[in-house]
Amino acid sequence: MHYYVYDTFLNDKKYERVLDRIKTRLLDLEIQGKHEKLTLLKSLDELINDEVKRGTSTVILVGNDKTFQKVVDVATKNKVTLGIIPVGPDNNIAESFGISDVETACDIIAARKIISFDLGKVNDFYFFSDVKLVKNLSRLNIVKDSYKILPKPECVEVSVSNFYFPRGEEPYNSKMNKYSAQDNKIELLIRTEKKKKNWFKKKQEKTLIDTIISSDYFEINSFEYLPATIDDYKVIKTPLKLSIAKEKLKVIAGKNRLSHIE
Amino acid sequence: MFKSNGEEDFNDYNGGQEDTVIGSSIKIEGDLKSNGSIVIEGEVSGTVATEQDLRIGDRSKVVADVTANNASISGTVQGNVKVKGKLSLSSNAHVDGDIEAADLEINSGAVFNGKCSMTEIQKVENKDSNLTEEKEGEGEEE
Repeated sequence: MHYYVYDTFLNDKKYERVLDRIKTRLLDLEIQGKHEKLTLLKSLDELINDEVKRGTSTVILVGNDKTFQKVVDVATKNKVTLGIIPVGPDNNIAESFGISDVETACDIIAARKIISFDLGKVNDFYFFSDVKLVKNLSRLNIVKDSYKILPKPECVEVSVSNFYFPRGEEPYNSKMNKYSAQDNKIELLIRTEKKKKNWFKKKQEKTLIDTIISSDYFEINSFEYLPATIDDYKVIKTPLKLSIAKEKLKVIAGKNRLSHIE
Repeated sequence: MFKSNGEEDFNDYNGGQEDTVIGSSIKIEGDLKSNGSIVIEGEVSGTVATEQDLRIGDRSKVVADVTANNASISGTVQGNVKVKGKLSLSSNAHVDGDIEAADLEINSGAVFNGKCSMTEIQKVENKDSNLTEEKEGEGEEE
């Protein structure tokens, strides 16, 4: 039996019709399950832990990228399979899994094609996308194997990425294919700022990937405790020990997923 | 969304199994080793070793002994360079150290201070097994 979790932003009235379409489609496909709406009073981790004790092995998330990223750690520790029904904006992860709209998502859940993904692990926490640091980067030192990486003041972001997808206007470069979430590696990406002068427009600032280093282990140390953001929602402090957790996460994906996802 | 529009966010490089790109915004200290190709645009001190190709950009400063399959140098290298295949020094290259390569190209404007050792590859046919063997010969030029 599936456990359907609806993110808090779906309480808005504008999503009522979409949610009705989801329930109708799930009924047509005869995919039964328990439906639960998240509220501020209910912790996602506690809900999933309780449902796993009751025998749930598949959790379907109704929401967006943030909904998915918030669940990865607790889902991995409980060994549940995840599915996604994307609603609203910011659904890059669902799109990369070949899930484009709610009806397609329901069909994909019924087909139940399960793909395994690597996860990154930072200290005791699993993450799907990346861990980012943006403050006082010149005070960091990053250790890999037998050498140290020392960012200079012109760095604007240091991130360790498991699953890369472009942000906003940043183009997806085909070379980043090999830095996938199934290659048993995590990638250290260091970005700098590029300022473009254009006679007709104001100065445009854009962050560029300046450095790429692949490994299965990094350590990030600093002179003081610096904040690091996991998957854009959880903040922890240095020092960080980052490693790859091979094939830890199982996700129900569609046929039209990105070509480098097997 | 996922189609490339031709813009490059980082330097283009020849693909290897694990490509390493050291940008101009970082400094590396220690023994840099990679199974794939390495592109260096920043500062490195220690040693650099790769089984694949190495490219040292014109803004880079490498204070290290370097080992690679093929290498292209446009920046500054203080250390010995050992390459199994082709070594190319561009007009902006500055190498202080000994070099060893099978195939060497030095462009006009490059600065090189050190000894140069060429490794020769000779093919010897074995009639019984039809295998070719490589013999290394050394010739020194200063």
